[in-house]
Amino acid sequence: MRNFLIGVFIFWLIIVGLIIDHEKKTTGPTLIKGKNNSNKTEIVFWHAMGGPLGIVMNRMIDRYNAGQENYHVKSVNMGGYDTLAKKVLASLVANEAPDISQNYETLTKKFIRHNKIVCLDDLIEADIAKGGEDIKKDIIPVLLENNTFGGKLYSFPFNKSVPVLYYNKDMFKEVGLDPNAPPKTLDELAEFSKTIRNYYVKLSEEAKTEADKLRFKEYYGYGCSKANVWGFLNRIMQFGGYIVKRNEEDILVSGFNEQPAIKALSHLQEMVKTGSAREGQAFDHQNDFIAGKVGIIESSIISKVFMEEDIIFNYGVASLPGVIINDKINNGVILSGSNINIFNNGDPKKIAGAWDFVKWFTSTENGAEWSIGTTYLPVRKSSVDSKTIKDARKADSNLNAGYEQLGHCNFEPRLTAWFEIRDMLADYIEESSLKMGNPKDYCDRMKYDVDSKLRYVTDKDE
Amino acid sequence: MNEIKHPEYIPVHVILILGAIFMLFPFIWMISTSFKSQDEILSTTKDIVLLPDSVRPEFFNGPEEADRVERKKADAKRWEEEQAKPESERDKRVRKPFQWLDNYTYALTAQPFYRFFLNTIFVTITVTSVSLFFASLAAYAFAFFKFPLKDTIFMMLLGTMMLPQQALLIPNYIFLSKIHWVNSYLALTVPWLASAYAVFFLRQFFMQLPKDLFDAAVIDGCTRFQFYYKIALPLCKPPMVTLAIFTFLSNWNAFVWPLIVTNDTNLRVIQVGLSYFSSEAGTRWGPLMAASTMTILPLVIMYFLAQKQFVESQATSGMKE
Amino acid sequence: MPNKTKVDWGAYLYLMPVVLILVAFHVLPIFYSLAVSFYEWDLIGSPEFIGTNNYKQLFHDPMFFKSIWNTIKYAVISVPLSIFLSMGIAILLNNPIKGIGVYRTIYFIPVITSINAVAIVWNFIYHPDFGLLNKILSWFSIDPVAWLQDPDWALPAIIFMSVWKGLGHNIIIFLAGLQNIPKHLYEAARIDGASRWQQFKHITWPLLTPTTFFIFTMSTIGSFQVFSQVYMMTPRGGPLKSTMVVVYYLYRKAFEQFEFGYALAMAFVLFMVIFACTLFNKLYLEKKVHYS
Repeated sequence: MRNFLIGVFIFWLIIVGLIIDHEKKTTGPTLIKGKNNSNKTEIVFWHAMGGPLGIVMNRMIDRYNAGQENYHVKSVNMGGYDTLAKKVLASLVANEAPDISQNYETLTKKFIRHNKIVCLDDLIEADIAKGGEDIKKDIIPVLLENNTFGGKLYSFPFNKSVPVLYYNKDMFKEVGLDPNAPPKTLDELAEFSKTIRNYYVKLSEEAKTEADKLRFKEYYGYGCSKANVWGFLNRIMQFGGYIVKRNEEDILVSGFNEQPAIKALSHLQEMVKTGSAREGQAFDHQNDFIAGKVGIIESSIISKVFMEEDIIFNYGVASLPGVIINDKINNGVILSGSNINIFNNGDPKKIAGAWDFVKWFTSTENGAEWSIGTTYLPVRKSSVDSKTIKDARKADSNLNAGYEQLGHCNFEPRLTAWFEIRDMLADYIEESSLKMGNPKDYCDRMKYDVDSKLRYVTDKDE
Repeated sequence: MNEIKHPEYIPVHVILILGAIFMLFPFIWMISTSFKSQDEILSTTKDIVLLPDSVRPEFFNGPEEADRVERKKADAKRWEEEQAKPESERDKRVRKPFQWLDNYTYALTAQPFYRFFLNTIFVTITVTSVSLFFASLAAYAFAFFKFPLKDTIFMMLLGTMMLPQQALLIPNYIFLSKIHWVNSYLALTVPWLASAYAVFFLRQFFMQLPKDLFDAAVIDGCTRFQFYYKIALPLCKPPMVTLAIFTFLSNWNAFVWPLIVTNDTNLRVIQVGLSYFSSEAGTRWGPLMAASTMTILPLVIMYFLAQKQFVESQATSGMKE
Repeated sequence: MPNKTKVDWGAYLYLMPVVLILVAFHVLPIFYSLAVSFYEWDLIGSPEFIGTNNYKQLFHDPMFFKSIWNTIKYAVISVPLSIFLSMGIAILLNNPIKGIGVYRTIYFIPVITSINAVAIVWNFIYHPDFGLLNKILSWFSIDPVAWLQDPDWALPAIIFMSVWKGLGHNIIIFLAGLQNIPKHLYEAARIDGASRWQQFKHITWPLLTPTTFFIFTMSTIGSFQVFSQVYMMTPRGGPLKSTMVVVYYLYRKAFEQFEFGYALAMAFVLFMVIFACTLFNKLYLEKKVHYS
């Protein structure tokens, strides 16, 4: 027994030694650098950028750090947005907040109310007073509006994305569709999906081997994720509807019982009912697309960097289809992704450093690099017009869909109760595709539930 | 042979073996999947392929596999041809053929699992050994000493076991931050150095030791602490081993607490690393299974090594609560 | 003889480490949580006292009742299922057969593994398109089921996986209980010509009741606190909220919607329910337990 305990102790010492060794290796260079420039202020940046996105970001952060005399940005990946939000909240309670973090608009609102973040307008005005530029003039309008609360800019757009269609050009060709003409309207989307589905149903029926029969039966025209609130809201925009607005009495009401929402829900129902569409859990539809089993999927433009190394056929990326209203195609999409907050930790040096980094990262050239590396939207108009982006678009036409949709972007209501409401919507959308009941009923219930939540909302700036 | 003498036990074996397959199969499936390429995983054949393509020896492939083997060879050849070309002319859609360890390399490069392992081992050993020592001290006092408030303190300890842990996360977090322990090894270890369950569990065993033994030893001039480590502890080895194993397991598998109290990548433990990896990898099942295998396998190996000790201690202490 | 009534002040020294840590990290937080359950608090702002409003609101919250109902369903199915399976296997293992050590080891493996890793593996097994389970079912020409995405199957799927994970633990405890039953009772019964079923009914079952009772109490408490598998396998509480259990609902309220006071009120109601169940077990069921 004694020998065993001594053995455990020695093992423990070895582990401690290895940890110290690893610690020296990973933080060593910065520690040494820190000694050389003891005036470098550390800026802690919490984010949720993993995988290929994280690689691009860390590469840029390293470059920033290398070229910096005063600041050192420490990038900490928190895994996902859920975890990130949890950690930020917990850290605020404990007064141990990071200097910058990615966040959604609803949290930004909470932070403003409790005076936890720095108002960026103040920083911009100070810059202008010192002869710097007025960044706000160069920010893409919808992104500016998305981050403005009570007339002031409180958060900075950082990684904003739009939904797009991905379509399998090889499959289009095979089933007799034009591989260079993705669906322009929702009707076309339904029609093309049907064409693809019918083609493979026929193949399945005519198949000689049992394996082929089974294989072709699992081919679908269109794929998306289940209980997809984003997709539903996009559709409402395409049908020319609205999500939430203020009525004459200045009370917030939702538009879910109106025709655009009902049409949005029934469009999806129809596609599933006719068998041309298939809803999968989470990212299953992307796997199906990669495997060549689904011809068209709707997903974020960001999915491109996650999928492209696995795709072995020719594919295209297109803007979301619209709906013909008064002889014109009405497009509309809803932004996704997050913004950056600078926390008010009481140290002006850290705030200055954080702001310096945010400006650097979103500047015309760096913003363009970020955008083409990750497919996120750039923040500045000048980035969109930059040579970097223009060249990249020329080299890869699949990048276009993101920039093309900039003109008709909207954003979800920035209400603190929105998270809860979104969950309610997801429940109804899920129920609608599971039970296939009358869309109008679901929409009426949605409207009733959401409005009764909205009645207690005291937020401004939705 | 027992079985030959008693053929009535053959059905017992059949049932037990079927059960054992059911218990083990998810792990076998996990390990097998961890060596498969995404294409192989996503194929919707009806067959359950246990031996992944990447590790299957050539002679293992029957004639019906010939087609696939050919294709595999062609893919490998194509990849080599592409590699021979200068970078700019390569067809980017030709992918590197899957090698058997690719999923593991993917997982290991995506997250610093090496450091996660070190952290986990450090935290687990520290907490297991110290908490056992503390708990045995307290249990010893409860079993042998008389002192005021004994029952009150004991009831208080028992009460701490009833509330769901999730409710205590935030108060604990706030307290840790007040004493500036958040994001440190202290936060990972100290709160778990005491366990009411362990005290309760060991007290039962100390109470079974004859009181006369204690009295006699004290008369012989044995100090209380000497009695504790020379007589009481060695007599309670089996329950200590059981407790050590359970403490070890629960610390190795702890997830929510380390997730909340650490921020730096360098302080993450294996379970947190796994969950971050699973949100990053999405539906890349191969790397996910590789990462799961890496977190599970060390425990299973250790369990096999400690198996004998464990069974002995279980047999004598399993049901004494 | 040492004085029996003498107070050992040194005892406090022995207790100190455990008591200090438990008070700091386990006792005080309970009181803190209890206090917060009377406040409205979103963590960032300052808490606002609202009396028993959180508790009142709880009893008008349909999702809370749904989560209680789901938890009860989970407990009522998983606890007996696990008890009967593990008792059966333990009885088989209690035979004088070879390889008991190997069987015990194998049956215990799911217990030692982390729920995180295991949930990832079962997510894959339950996958509607290429999951293992549907592959096996297809041999019997059963159509694929979207286990975790089907409101009728999601909870059973989680129960199935939980039973698999916990079985080994109960088997070990039952085995210990079985080994405490004196062998001569069976010999006597065999001499009297009792069948296996009669032996089970008149010896094993009654003498095993203390063990069964122990397992029943502990698994009931455990199943009321079920969380990890739901969190890892069915995001948002499953299809049509069919796997929304109390602790997961509590977790969402606290860490996703940041209603801390409300979440903690829920935690205390759950605590009361668990306490009442334990008390009921102790006072009512234990009377039926046969202590030798």
